[in-house]
Amino acid sequence: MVTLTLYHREDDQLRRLVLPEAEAARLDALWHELHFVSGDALQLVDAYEQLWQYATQDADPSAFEGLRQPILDAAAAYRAELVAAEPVQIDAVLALARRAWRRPLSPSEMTSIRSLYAKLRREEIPHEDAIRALLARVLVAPAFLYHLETPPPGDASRPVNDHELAARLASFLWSSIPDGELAALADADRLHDPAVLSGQVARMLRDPKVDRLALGFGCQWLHIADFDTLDEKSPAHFPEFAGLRMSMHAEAVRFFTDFFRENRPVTHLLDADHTFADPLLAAFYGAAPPPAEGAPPGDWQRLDGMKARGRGGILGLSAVLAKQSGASRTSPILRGAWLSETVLGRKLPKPPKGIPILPEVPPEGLTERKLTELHSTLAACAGCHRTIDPYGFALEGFDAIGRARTQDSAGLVVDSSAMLPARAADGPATAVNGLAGLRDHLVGHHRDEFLRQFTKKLLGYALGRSVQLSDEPLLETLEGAAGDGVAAMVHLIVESPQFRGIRGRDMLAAGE
Amino acid sequence: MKSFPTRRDWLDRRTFLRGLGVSMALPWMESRNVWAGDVAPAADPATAPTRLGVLFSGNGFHAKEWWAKGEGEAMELGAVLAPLHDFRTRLNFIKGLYNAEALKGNIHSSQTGNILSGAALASGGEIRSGTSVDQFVAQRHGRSTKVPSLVLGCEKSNPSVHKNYSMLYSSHISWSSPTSPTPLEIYPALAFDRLFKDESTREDVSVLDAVREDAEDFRRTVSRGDQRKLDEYLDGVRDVERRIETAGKRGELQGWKPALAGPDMPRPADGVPQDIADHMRLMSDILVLAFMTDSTRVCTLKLNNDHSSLRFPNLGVDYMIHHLLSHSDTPDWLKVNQFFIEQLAHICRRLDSVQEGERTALDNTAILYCSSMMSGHHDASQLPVVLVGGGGGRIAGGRVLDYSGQEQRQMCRLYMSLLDVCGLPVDSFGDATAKLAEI
Repeated sequence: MVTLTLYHREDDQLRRLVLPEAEAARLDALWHELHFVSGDALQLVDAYEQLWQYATQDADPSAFEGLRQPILDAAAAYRAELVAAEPVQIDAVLALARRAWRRPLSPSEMTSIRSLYAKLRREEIPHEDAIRALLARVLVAPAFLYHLETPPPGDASRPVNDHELAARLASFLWSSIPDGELAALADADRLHDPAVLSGQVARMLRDPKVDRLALGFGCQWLHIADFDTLDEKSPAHFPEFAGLRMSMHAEAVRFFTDFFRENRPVTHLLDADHTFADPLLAAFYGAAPPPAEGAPPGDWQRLDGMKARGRGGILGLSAVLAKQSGASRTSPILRGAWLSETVLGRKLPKPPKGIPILPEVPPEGLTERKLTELHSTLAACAGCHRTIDPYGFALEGFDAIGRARTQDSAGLVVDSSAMLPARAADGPATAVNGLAGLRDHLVGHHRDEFLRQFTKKLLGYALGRSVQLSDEPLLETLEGAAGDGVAAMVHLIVESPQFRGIRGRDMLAAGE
Repeated sequence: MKSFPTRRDWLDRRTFLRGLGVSMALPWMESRNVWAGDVAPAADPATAPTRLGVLFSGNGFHAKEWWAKGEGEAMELGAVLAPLHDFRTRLNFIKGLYNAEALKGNIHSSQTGNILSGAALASGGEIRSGTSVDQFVAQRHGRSTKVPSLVLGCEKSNPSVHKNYSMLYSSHISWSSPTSPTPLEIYPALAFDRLFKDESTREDVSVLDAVREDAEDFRRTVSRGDQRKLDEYLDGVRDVERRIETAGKRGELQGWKPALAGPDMPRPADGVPQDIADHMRLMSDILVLAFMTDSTRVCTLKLNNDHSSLRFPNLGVDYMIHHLLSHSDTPDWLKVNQFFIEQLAHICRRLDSVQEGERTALDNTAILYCSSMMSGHHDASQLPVVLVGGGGGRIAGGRVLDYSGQEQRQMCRLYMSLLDVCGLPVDSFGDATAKLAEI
């Protein structure tokens, strides 16, 4: 089919009789853009020719003659528009470069980009391909891919400049480039002023973009950053998992986003009574009836009363419980090791050589827990495992995809009592039951370990390097401020010399 | 066996070209080795080049069934290696080799990061290993072929940290430099394109020039540590420049043409195949295709990661991931092991079906298959290794070689032997200073 109308506009009454002037102008501008981007003025020239050919085959085409000139004129006008747009598009690339490189370009940098364009055009490369090449040049440049910061000469450190500071801030809190406000303050060289800087940090922490901090820091720390694509669950045992994993992942992101935006204390991570859920997840947590089959995705809501449901805090996140489990059954050892290493920051020693092999067929009538206990009562293993497994036992009330349960997959009653190890190597163990008991014990007796681990992880994330001995004073200051809420800690990090400064060029790093 | 000419015997290629105004398309000259630094000339110009294949799977093998004994036709293979029965006279079952540096960290990532280099590993936030043996070969011989090396994988890279060592060590066996794991292709269609599609445009060269200048300018102002980072960037730029340069060009050995001029299979569908068996089969076929079209002479196929999360619904073993399966010697674990060895057997069968003069392509290839621990119990004091193929008629097959209990049983000694087989004899590699006499 050949047509002379690629885009049919039928809104004359709307435009004339209904829309105010400004809206009508906007609508016209959109139509203009559509024609510009589609290049239909040029396509019409070919379409017209084809129509003419068909018409001459078996009829008199002179009726169409009148259409020829307007079409050719429109095509010529369009070509003129394209040429007029070329410098505008080059300017747009330069504006993009300023944002992408997180700083204004120097005059020589701008000249070199323009020269590259001119060179490509001289080589008979069409304008669009040349613009694409310019975009590639901007986005492949080291200034885009790396945080290129200029160190001072010698070996003294000094604060980074405002553009570099804005980039560090945006990277830390938003995993992004500075927005307009940050960039403007950097351009005006006002960002480093303490009041201005503090105001920006507060603004950024309240911004929804903090969900990238939730994902990049919170979820990465807990090893669930890529949980939404986790493919390790047996579909035979858990057919519903594939449909739930995105919601489970999103819950964790929202939980941490709320933590930062609402300036909660660090203990909130263990002790929270609320979380967030969409209708699917709410049903999974037993807080709502299952949504109707085929119902569209529902809204996310805050869900309170999680403690009453045996959950609350990061320990109750189904993403965490599912990630630290096997494909078809739970693993108290995985959960216990995760808690010891990831949450409390303890270093677990290597498994010894010559580990005895597990029995090939688990004896009848053994719960998943009992199977683990069999493994850990062996003398060579018990020493370490009695400090790891009990944390996992306390969480046995949740299956391998994090659903609350009272029976395991073999139909045997779940036992979530545990003897949690003491701080001292030979101190008495504490009896607890379930997630609630575990959580209360951690908050009551291991708050400092948890706080230290959180602080180290947050500082390391903010600075983009591993925490060194020289960071110890800052860590102590941060821990001291933890009771005031996490925002105070973020402010302290941003104000610290570590975050504000860059080492001198000649300073040697460890090991050089 | 003739020894290869040294670099001094070779004229500088560019000088020669400038002097005579000839192009790359001329066949080889027998009397002088003119292409300095390009292709190591074959001892007999009519022989096919030697290829190197490296296969890896994580988490070791079934402790009781990974064995071989006897020699030649009479060799008996344990159940894991049963799929290689037809190739028992062409393989070497090697015991007792290890990487000393792999015993110094914790488990998994610190045992795998240096599997092909023997290098010391950095822990914590730093990523540092050593250039792997396959990339060592690719960097010296790679200019002879369109693609210097092909690095394939059937499981994506895991960027997390395990026991204070980066899981990149578990995800990459090929390393282009101590700090750069070689980019890994897990998409069959993209691996295919890498071999057969010419993707560069005229503008690319100008863009690369511009960004290279940026990096060189900036490099002058930054600290030493940051200079190293920019060096990695510059290596990347040079890599792409070289690709553009060699696209469409081929080194040719007089009298020898590869079995295939172009691909004998259709371009695979986009994306990653749902079925792991399809994925592995496709990648194995692409490896074979790469060798048969002489698009590359070095190919690495990481069948899965160390600490792998793969499950095997195709084998009915999907209730537990590979890593956890490896912790006990069950019949299902054996089944999974055999499935992996079948991929190697498939590659051997296909290469063996291609005649290259007096020998087959399998005779002209050396394929190393190893893992970074003997079994799922994290024992890296000796590594499971099987070597198949004749390496250009230089490697005798049908042997069980046991280096356990010897003083000098570095895995890198095997790599030194392989380098020698590939025409790149060295005085040392990793922690080894002498090659294995038997290989």
